Amino acid sequence: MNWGAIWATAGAVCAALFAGIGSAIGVGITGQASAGVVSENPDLSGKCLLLQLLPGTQGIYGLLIAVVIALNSGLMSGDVAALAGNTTLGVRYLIAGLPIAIGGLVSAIYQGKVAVAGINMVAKKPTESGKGMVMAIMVETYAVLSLLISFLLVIGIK
Amino acid sequence: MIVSMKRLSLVALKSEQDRILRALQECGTVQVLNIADGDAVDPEADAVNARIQRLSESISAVKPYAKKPGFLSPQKREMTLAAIRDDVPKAESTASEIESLLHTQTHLLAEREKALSTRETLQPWVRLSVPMSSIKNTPRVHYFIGLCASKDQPRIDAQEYLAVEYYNESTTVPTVLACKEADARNVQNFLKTIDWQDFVFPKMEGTPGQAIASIEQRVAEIDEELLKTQAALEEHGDSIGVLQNAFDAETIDYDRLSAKSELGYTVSTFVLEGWMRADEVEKTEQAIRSVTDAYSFEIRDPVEGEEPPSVVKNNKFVEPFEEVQTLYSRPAYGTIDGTPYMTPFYILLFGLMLSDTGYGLLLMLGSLVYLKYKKPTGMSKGIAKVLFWGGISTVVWGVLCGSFFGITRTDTSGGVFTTIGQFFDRIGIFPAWIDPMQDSMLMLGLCFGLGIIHIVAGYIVGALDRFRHGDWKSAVFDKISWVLITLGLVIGFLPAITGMAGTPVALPDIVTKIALGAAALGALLVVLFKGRDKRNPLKRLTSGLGGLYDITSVLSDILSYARLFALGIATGVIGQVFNMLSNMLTGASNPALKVIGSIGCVVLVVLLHTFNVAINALGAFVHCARLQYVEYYGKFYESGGKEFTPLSYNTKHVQVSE
Repeated sequence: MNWGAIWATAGAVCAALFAGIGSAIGVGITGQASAGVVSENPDLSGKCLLLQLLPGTQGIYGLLIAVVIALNSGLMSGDVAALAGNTTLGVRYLIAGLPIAIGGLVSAIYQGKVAVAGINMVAKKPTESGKGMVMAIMVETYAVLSLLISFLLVIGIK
Repeated sequence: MIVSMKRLSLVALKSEQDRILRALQECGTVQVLNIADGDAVDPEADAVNARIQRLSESISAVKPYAKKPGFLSPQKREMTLAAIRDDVPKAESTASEIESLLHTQTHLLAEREKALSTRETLQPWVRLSVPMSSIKNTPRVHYFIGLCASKDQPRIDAQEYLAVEYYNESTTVPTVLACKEADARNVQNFLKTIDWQDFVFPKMEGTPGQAIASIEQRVAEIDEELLKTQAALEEHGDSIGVLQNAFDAETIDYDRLSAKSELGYTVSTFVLEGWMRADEVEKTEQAIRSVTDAYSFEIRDPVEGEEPPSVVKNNKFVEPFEEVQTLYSRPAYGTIDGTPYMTPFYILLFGLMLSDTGYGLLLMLGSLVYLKYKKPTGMSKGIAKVLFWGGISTVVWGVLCGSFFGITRTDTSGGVFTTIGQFFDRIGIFPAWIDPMQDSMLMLGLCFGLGIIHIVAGYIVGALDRFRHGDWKSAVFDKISWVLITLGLVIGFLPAITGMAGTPVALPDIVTKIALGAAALGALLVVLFKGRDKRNPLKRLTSGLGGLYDITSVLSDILSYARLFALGIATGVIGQVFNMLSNMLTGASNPALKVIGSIGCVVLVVLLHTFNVAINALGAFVHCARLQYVEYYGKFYESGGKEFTPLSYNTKHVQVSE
């Protein structure tokens, strides 16, 4: 059993899976709110769509880290000999993936909530959509920081 | 630069009011202030407003049937005011036709709904074979019509003085009971003890079955009529242009008429108070002079306590970035307009967050095409121009960092992508400077470095502004002190910080000593003078020490620039992943499959990269804006200015031309 490869795969899976779940929830709730607003005023669909997209980025960041883990550890090319019998190496990949997995999961959900509030704001004051976007992006900051540390840790594994 | 505003007091004759207001509206330079005593609304304005409402309802009713404007056709068509006014009578008659069609439609739908629900209630009774109207009380017999629960049937059957008829076998059974008139009261009391619900037949002819048939026939007729109404509405789809023109013409009239009710009046004159830009005074007076000589036109500067609207004026290059600033907040009147100081940083940082030559070219081309064909106005125009400049910056950063649609020098996506990557490797100047994937610490350092420059620039802009207002104390103690602290600490600790990252930068000892000295001086200034308006020396000292605590916020501001690196990486790596995915389609060995796969690969590449550039350009736009609002503007900007809304042609569908 190549435990190193298993742990590394778990790292890639966690990054993509949890960040993806977060984004799915975030985009889901904003989508519901958008549909409500757009049913009243179809002209606002563009503005609502922009706000709906914002919590979607965490899923992309998770995918990014998953790919970098897969590339760096050799999971992508199938050359996992270095991981054979090296549990430590594999677990390092798993731990390095955790910031974006958990940070992405939670921040996407909360960003979704802020974006829902932003969409409600757009319904009342369509000209203020930019402010709603900036509010949502404040939450995203922490997903970006999670992405950054995950990335640096993963590429630091030689 | 914030434009200085003038307060206008215009007095002229009532008889010329309408012509003067028209001239002012055409000129579009004066924001009318409400100085009216009550809030009486001009009856004429009310009538116009009602017409606007009707037009807008008509527009949304026929919109689904109107020809969609072409993908690249302008957002607003250019027309003269006279031309759109000419459309008003025609639009009025069209709107009333549409209104009556909508009215018919609503009625038909309501009738249909009601008929269907009647059918629903009659459905259980189809087995009743006598006309519904025939079941009515006679002097000797009393009927009870209703729905009873099937579990209570045995109890009904047990009543000897009742004649019973059931009409189906569901859980609530349609039932007719008959009894002698004398027993009627007993039966009523009995029915209260069981699960019984009275039922009243609708006033219709014939048996329930016949009634249902006639309802169905009526519904079919209604459906046909609805289709006809729909078709009639569809025919009006072509007149949407006329309706929209009229909508704008009426809106223009409404704006002017409602301004009328904000003026002050004497017996024969009216008084207009308003704000206008100091550089448009001449133009405004000209507009009035073209109407009449009988007027008094007085202007003065704003006085203490007044809050004039805030307007900024910049050169053509900086102007679009005003929209980015407006997304945050307008500057308070009399403070500083941040746009010119923000523009270069916005362009620089935006490009760094995307840093891909291919995506930059797409953004440039996309925004140029959008500007050329859609002819946007207002905010979308500004944003498109911002994206154009951002695109140029992205191209430059893409060359510096060596990324082209996600392809880098060390590309491993395979196929044509790797060939291009190898080509970049051979020519050797792509990346021209730094490969973020290989030298990530250097890249991160660069981002922090740019952040420090940005933050220090913010303090310096603030200091210069304070000097300009003659407030040298605030400039030195609140702004320059922090420049000293930030730069001093960064330079002083540069060898140590870079040493942690593995590539120590050696600085002469004397430089670090001077730097740390400067930082200490800055800190001293803050501690001694932060609380300079407090008399109590102890309070003053605590206020100063508390001020020094702001160093943590400067530090977190600097760390915030890590997003530049992370977002740049996100764009590049995701682009690379998309290339890899697309390339997988070309892997077939069978030649026919390979051709199909290659076509699929091209389609996929186009789709995936479009998605990537869209979502990352959005991210770069907003994150870059945030760096300006929080990290940069936090150092010098005062928000809260009010929007300038002059009386003008405020149209939705038409661009009014001369």
